[in-house]
Amino acid sequence: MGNCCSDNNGGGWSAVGGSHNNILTPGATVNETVDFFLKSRGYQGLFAQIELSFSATNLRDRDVLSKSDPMLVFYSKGRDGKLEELGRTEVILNSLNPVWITKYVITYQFEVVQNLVFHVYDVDTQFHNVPVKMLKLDEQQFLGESSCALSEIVTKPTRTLTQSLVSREEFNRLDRPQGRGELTVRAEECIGSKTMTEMILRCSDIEYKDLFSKSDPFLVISKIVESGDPIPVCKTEVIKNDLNPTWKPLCLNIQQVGSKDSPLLIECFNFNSNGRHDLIGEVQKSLGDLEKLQHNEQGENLFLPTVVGHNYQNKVLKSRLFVDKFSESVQNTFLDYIAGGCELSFMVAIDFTASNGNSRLPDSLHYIDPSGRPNAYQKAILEVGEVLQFYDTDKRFPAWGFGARPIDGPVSHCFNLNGSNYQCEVEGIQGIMTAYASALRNVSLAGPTLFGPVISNASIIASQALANNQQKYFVLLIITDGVITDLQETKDALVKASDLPLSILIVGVGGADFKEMEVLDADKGERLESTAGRIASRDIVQFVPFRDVQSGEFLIVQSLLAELPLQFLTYMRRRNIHPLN
Amino acid sequence: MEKSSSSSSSRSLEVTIISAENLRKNHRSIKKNAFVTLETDPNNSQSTSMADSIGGSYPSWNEKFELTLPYNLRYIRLEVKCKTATGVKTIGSVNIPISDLLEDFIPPSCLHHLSYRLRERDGDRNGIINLSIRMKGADSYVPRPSPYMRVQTGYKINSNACRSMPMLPTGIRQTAYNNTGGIAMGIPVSKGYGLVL
Repeated sequence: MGNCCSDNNGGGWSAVGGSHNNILTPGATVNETVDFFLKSRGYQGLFAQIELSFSATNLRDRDVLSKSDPMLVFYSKGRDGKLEELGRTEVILNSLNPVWITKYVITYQFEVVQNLVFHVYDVDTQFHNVPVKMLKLDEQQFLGESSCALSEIVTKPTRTLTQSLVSREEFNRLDRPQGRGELTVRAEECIGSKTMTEMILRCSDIEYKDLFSKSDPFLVISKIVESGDPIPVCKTEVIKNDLNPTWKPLCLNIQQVGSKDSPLLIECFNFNSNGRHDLIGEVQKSLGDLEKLQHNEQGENLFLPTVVGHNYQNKVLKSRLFVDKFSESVQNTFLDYIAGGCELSFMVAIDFTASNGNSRLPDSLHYIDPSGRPNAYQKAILEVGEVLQFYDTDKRFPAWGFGARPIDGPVSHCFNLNGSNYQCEVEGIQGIMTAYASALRNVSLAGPTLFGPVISNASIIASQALANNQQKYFVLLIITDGVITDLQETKDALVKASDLPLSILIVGVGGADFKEMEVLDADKGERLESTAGRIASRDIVQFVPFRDVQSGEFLIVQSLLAELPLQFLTYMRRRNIHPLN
Repeated sequence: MEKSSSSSSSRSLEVTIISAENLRKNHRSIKKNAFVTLETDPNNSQSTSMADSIGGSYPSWNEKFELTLPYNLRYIRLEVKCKTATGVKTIGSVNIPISDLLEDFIPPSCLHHLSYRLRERDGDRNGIINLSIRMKGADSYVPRPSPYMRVQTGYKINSNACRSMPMLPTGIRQTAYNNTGGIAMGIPVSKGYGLVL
């Protein structure tokens, strides 16, 4: 896919960007439309525009005759530790408790840990006429720094994070001395992205364009940017052989079109399978105008630009555009739920089947390198856990293993990784790593590879939260090296789990053929169907192979996590669950 | 099948027929006039209204029904039909087992969103129907555990890896239902992983 107006989607007959064929519930339409819109623009997962605002208190006084003149410089910190400057605030004169006016808009990405670093400087009087961009930072007095992950701010109920400022030398120490003041960063989601409009458009008396039949009309809605060029935003499905067509409901995000008053070009075309669609007529209206049309139940005549001599003239047509329905709604975003206190609970299940190879040998996927280099399992746990831990406050993670024989016992397809008979939870990501290493020493790898029991145990935990009315969403990470033996049982378990607050991430390690895993990931095929004919009510599985990659694992984990916020939102909206507070 | 208290006469099902997907008749997508009938027995059936042409072969209804639930009822039958010029044609049907509600991970009184494959009379696959069901007056009901609800175990830590005690199953996990009245769970007896463990 890609271009909104291209005709490579189902031969061009289907709607793009607007309504969607695959409607589960009417409420889901909006969501899928947004998904599609984002995906068509290269945003794989959830993204939200966050506005950061900054203030500080009790800064250190460096000037002799007056108070400090503070300025804040903020950076993003890459995985290699490199700082990249994002921007600078203005200099506030004579203040130890500055509230900076400069805001910074950052794109929040769920699937990435976005580390931010803040440096506060006292700008000397002699530089006050220099634009802040031109200031040489090493000529300024350093007042202190702090750092955090963006997800730490957005998961706070107040969306505000206050941290002590430290000097450079103290930065890596745990016992940070006080006295340099505190920096407060506030994150607010830009509101435009939340408002959706839904419209039903209809045309009357469309002209004949086809030789032997009535026209096959569809609409393209474009926004008109400053340069005057229209940028297509969405297109309806094609209605065959109809001169008075009513199209399926269209959903537009206000941000998608600019604002309610931005002019939109609505063009009605006659579909032509060769791609050269004939323009039937067009009209220019903003969303606000369309709302008025609906309110007054009036139609608007389409016109057709025609060449008369040297001039263009607009020929007014008999065809008219009507708006049968116009509604606006504010959709709760992923961050609304998170800030409202909804938690993402992380669970892990690790494949201990014999196909991994003897864990004492270096060619085994389970080999623990004495040098500390993590194996594929450890890498997957660390990288997924790194992102998810911010959303789980108690940081107690259920961790299981499957496909191994505990000493002298029969093969177990779901045993507690920590060896306990009662408690499957471990403390923190480090707890998972410790339990994993301990399990490797204490079980013997066996087989076959069954997912059903692990999925069922995760389902039980998820259903307990649901039955107790807790607002929680669960994420089960299954790391496996092989092809599953119980494909149908796994499907059955997944179909039942699809009605629970649960998403399942499957990471395939090693070189096996993971074709069957792709079947479980419904976005690559059909919806999962159980033996009894029950069908998964939504897609809850995301599969990613984690092999043949030396440097790009980071992106792999991103693509694994990218779908999660959307799966989360589909669940919440379907059940009509609203954010707490 | 299920043991229930005697006061089961007041039980009922609240069924919402939400939508259907990809409905076909003679291999062609239907345009309009699809509707759904629900029946608990041949003498007791209700229907949705006819869907307009907006959804085409993806009609949506969002209509809610209340069905009284006879004690021994095993399934509800749904039929998706379409009114055409030559009369009413059945597109596909499905029997929804009540056990899908009773043996689910969440209590029957919680809202269940369910989707089912529709089958034509000769067994061919047709579209999908989406509905939600909630059981009313079901609190006295003893749910049966899912066949997947399994014993969970640990392993015996033994660092020198010599012979030690066999792994012991620790009993059936408490399930999600225990808040509906503290009912003890039975031991799952059906197929699945019973023998493998």
